[in-house]
Formats: sequence, C-alpha cells, structure tokens
Amino acid sequence: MTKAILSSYIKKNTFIHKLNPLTKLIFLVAVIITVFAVKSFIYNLIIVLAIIPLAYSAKLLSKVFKPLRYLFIIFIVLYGIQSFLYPEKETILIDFGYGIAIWEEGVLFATIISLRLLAMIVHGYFFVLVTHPGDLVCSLRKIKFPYKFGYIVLSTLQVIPRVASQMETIIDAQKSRGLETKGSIANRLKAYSPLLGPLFLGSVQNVVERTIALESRAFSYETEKTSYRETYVRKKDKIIMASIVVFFTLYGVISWIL
Amino acid sequence: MSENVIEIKNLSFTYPAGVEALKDINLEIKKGEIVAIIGQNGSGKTTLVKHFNGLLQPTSGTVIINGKDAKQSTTAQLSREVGYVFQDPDDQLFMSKVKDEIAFGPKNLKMKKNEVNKRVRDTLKLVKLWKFRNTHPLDLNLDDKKLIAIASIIAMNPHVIILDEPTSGQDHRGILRAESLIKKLSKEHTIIIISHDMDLVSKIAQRVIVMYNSKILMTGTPKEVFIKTSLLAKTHLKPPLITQLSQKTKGMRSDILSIDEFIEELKTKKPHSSKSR
Repeated sequence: MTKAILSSYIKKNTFIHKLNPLTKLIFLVAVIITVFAVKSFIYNLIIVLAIIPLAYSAKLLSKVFKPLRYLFIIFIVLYGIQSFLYPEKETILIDFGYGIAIWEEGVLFATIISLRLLAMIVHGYFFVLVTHPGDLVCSLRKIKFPYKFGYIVLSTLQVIPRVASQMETIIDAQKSRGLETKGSIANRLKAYSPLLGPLFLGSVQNVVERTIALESRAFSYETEKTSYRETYVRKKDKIIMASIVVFFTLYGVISWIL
Repeated sequence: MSENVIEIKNLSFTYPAGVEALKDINLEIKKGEIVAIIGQNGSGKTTLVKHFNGLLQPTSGTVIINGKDAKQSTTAQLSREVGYVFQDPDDQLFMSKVKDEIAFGPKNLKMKKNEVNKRVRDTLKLVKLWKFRNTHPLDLNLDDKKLIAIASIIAMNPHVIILDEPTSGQDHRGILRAESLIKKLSKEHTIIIISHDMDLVSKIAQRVIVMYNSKILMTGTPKEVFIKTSLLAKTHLKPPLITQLSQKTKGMRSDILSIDEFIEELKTKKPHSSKSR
C-alpha cells in the first residue's frame, strides 16, 4: 500500500546526515552562488562532479541522480534552441546551408546553463535527501526566522513527493482507461498534458484543506512556540561553515584569475 | 467447469522502496465470478489487483489474464479486458463534461464515433445519470461521482471489472445504488471488489478472499469465511452485524448473513416452554 511521504529525506547514520541543517544549507547556497559567479564551465563541471564523493560518503550515490531523468527534455530543448539561435554567433560548427547552422557560442552557452542547472538540482536534491525537514525548520527558527516561514519551507519540501505520488495515481487511473503512455516523447506529452489540470486543481484544493487543518490546531496563535525536535550548532559545524565560505570565495576568485 | 479469467501463480511483489507487499500469492478467478477481497489497510489488496491490469508487474511469479501473460501487454491494452475503477473518483475524472468523461475510454480503444456515442448513452442510462451528461463531473456529489467513475469503465465493456471500495464514503442510498448496479453488471461481467463493507460483501460476493500481511489468509463463500471468527479477528475484521448477533445468540446458526435469514431461523425455533401453563 501507499506509505506516508514526509519528504524525500532518507535516514542514514553518516557524518553528513549528522551535521546541522544550517551547515548543509550554507553549502547549498555557496554552490548556487558559485556556479553563477565562476567564469568557465570547467569550474562548474567540477562542482557538479563534487556530488559524487559527497553522495558516496552519505551512502546515497544511487539516489542522488534520480531527478536527472526529468531534466532530459529540458536539456534537449536548451541545446536545440541555443545551438541554432544564440544571438552572439560567430563560429559555425556544422553548416546545414540556407542560413541554418549550429554555432559554437550557442553550444557553449547551452553547456554552461545546463551545468548550472545540473549543479543546482543535484546539490539541491542531495540537500533534501540528507536533511530532515523538521530539523531544518527547527534550526531556521533558532536563527530567528519566523515560524510561518519555517512552515513554508517544510510544506514545500513535502509537496513535491506528494504531487509526484498523486500524479502517479492519476496516470494509473487513466492507463486503466486505455490511455497509452508508452511511445515517442510527443505521444507521452499528448497523453500527459490533459492530466495536469486535475493535478493542479487537486493541489489548490489540498492547500485550502491544509489551511483549515492548520488553523484548527492554532497555527497562527500568537505565542512562543516550542519545538518537538532539537538541533545544535556544534563546533564541527562552525569549522565546516567557515571552511565552506573561505573555500568557495577562493574558488570563485581563482576561476577569474586563471 | 468454467474457465479462469485470471490465474496467478507464486506471485510476489516488492515495492522499489523495499516493502514486500505480496508474498507467494496463488489465485484463480473464474469467468462470471463475483469475488470480494477483504483485509486491513496495508494488507496488499490494492497491490494485488493492480497486477490484474498490468499497473504493477510481479517481482516474481506469473499473472495470466485470459490465457495470456500480463507481462506481454501494456495496461492500456489490458484495459479492453480488465477495467479498474479507482477508489477516489477525483483521481480518475478530468474532463469538463460527464459525457466526455464516459467517452474517454471508448475513444482510447479507437471505437468509431457513433459507437462511442451509443456507449455513452447506454452507460449513462444504465447508471441513471443521463440527465447529468453536460454537467462538470466534479460538480456532482460523491455518490454520483463514484457512479460516473464506474460508468466510465463500463463504457469500455471490459470483461472483468475491478471496483476499489465502491461504497466508501457514501450514504445509504448511494450504497444501495452501487449494490444494485454491481448485481446488474455481474450478469455479464466478472466482478472483483475490494471492500471494508462486510454487509455488501456478504450480500453480493460468491467468494471472499481474506488478505493478511501480504498473503491470502483464507478464501471461501461468505458463509464459510464469516464463521471463522477467530481467524478473522486476527486481521481485525468482523462479520456483518447480523452474523455476529446470530453467532452470540444461543441456539442460532452461526452462518446467518441476512436479517431475512435470521427471522426464518427464529421461526423454526419453538417458543420457550416456561410460558405454557
């Protein structure tokens, strides 16, 4: 039967899992800033590949690349459009004649964008895998983030797996009514697109119901709230946080100098 | 001997996350049978029926539908033979008009336009919801939505119809309507229902399959199953109230399934002698 989905978090007993969520959050933010700040794509590639040792040490190597299969189409579209239509084109890679050609600058640009996307998604997903959502909210509140903001973070983390499983049920129901979902990408898009309506409406309806459920449990009552979970910023967290900031600053600077 | 529409041999299924949901299931369902699958939530009922139309593929073992291995067909292909009505109609209904909703399945089966229209009309008249043909399905109340979900499968005319919780959340009238519809359908179809509604099960099922802990605990006619109270208690299932009453009444048979049967049985008992002078 279906199991209750809290978030994508997978419980393991590793060094990375035991770190304070803020340490991991700072790492994620540093990664995202850096992939946009550095100049050449080699540096972005290194950051993307850095996920492999990280995921290995967290015993999640097989899980961390899961979201990539959904990105496939985005990459195709990105390369398709940019290779042909990038505005600052100078060097022709492949000429098809009639003014249609693949341009080197376009391919390079598409590569940089894809690597940025990849880095954000892989590292972002890794963050979600190793961070208990409750711990994240608890530690955010300790650094004075508002309670409601904490809830927004928490519900966002929960919403993705929930929508995914809802989507699966809806697709199963339509397959049972003879909807063919195998075949070419065009076929699949045609099959899936009418299902987005009910999925979206269902999510909105869900929000309304959640609001009522939360309010009936005094969500917006003005008082100091206690937390069921407890997190601490330990010495190792402080050292790692400082190292992250120093390392990524240097990394960015080096990418500009070399 | 009627032939088997569904044959399951040594079926085991483990979800990708590692949960073993079915363990070594062996089962045959004959053509024209009305089978009820009961058991606690999480006992594997839904997982089992999802194998009947290829939504899930066995981790090991085989599922044979109408003599063919289910592995060789997609769910869409199997939908000609096995229709599956989901528990929550909101997951299933997505068109903006009831008649389009009913037409969706037949169109997927590549039927001609006038055949589709005929199916829509016949089906909606069968479930007595023809008057709602231009209504938005989600504007209907739950009872009607459930009927529309069933109708959308009936319109495809599959031989086997699986109904997941056809009466859950419905009022008395809705339950009676679903019940009489299932009875009508059973004349031409093989019916498989998943239900927690023991009254419904005892009234319509010819055979009951009790699932417990990913396995089939027992199978038999409602009478055979509901007298095994201690085995049922293990799965936190209870026979229908009238059966429980007769089981606790001295001198009554323990396999009574309906009020009429209970009264008949009472009439055969002699009044107590203490009242005679």
